[in-house]
Amino acid sequence: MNIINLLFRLFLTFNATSLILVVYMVKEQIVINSISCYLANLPHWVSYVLYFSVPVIFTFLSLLLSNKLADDNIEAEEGKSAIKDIEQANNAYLPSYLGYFFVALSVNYCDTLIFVFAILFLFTFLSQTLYFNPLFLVFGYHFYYLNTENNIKIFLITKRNLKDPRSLNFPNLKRINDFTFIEK
Amino acid sequence: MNHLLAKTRGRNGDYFKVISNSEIYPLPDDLDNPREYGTDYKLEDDEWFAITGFSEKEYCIDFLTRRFISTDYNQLPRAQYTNIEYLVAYQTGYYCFQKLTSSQVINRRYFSMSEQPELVTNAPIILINQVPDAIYHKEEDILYFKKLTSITTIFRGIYELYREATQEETEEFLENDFINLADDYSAENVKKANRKRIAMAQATLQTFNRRQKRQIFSYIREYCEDLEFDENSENFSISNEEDLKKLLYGIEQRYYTTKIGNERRLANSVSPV
Repeated sequence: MNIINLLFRLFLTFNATSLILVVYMVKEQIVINSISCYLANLPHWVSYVLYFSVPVIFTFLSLLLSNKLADDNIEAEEGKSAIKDIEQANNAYLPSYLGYFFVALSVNYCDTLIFVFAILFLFTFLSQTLYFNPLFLVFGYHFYYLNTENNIKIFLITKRNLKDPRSLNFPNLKRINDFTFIEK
Repeated sequence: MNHLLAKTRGRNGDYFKVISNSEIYPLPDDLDNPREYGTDYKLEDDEWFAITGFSEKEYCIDFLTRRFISTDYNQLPRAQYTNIEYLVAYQTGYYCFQKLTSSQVINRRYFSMSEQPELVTNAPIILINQVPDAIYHKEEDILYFKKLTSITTIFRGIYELYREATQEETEEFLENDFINLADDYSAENVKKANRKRIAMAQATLQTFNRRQKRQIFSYIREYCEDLEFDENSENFSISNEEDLKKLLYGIEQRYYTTKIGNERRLANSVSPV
């Protein structure tokens, strides 16, 4: 179970940071046309779309994999919700993401990029709460900070639009780590 | 809503989540037959001792008074498994406690019965009891249990239920043949500390036979020289709290002599080794 969890977290971290590689390849105009003579006449955007689709597919896979994680739930009892307040976090990742993009756009050499990517990967992995992957938004997920009745803050990834903490019920959560949960 | 948590030992002991979404303990169907706790009462098989208004008691734990939310607890790290003090399962309104003793942690080689058996080594398993040691029903605020000694480490201080003798028990104890009350000393004068000791001493005395009782009395006389003893009627004269305390300590065999140095001592607290 522990191994699955570790792999899943590595996978999530990769998905969250891999867009930096895509941006870099687009900037450097690295295309797949040279691989085969059949592809030589393809417009560049085909390569770019292809690059972009890799993290999207990986993100989709990570969502499928998350079914294997340990169960959890936050259930309302006698109609009383256990959540005190909700804070939307969809935009919270924007500053860090813009940071990633600017780095990718300003890096000139491939080995610099690899080094920067490695550092970002490491810190994203270790920071635990920062599995902000904007690609989750593509699949209809949203990010929220929830404060439970015992004043403990958790990070939740869910498809629902949460607004009113009074009637919340999460019978089917999966534990990504001790602070981050995803609703299935 | 079913969750299993583990409480770890030590100063940094905390509650950790273990398993969710599976029922750990089937709830007993005989909880409607509760009895108030009494030291001398022996439960029938279908009975439970019950403490009502449990959250008001001083030995109630904070864990029971706050709301249970499974995401508040961290997952139990692998290294902490050997450090579990007790298990507690939350099952929609009921908390089931199980004290973990070393006999319930099994460190053996085993293989499971299957088409392709595989030898498993170095994977200790934890046994879950058929019936929990204690059950707390949140809504009714009642704690049910079968055996007080198995939950004393979970609810610290609950032992006081056991220790303090009632007025009747105190009177009964003072009426024993080996006690001669003097100076108007009576059961009314017995203070709380001695009442606790009486409850324990009563239980100890019951395990002694005649010969052992006689041995105990000579042992007490040996250590408590200032405690008056009447040779003819074979009784101690008790005239105040201090005398009673000495006698009670004697019954619990709290006096001893050091092996080296031959110093006579009183054991302030005792626990079996």
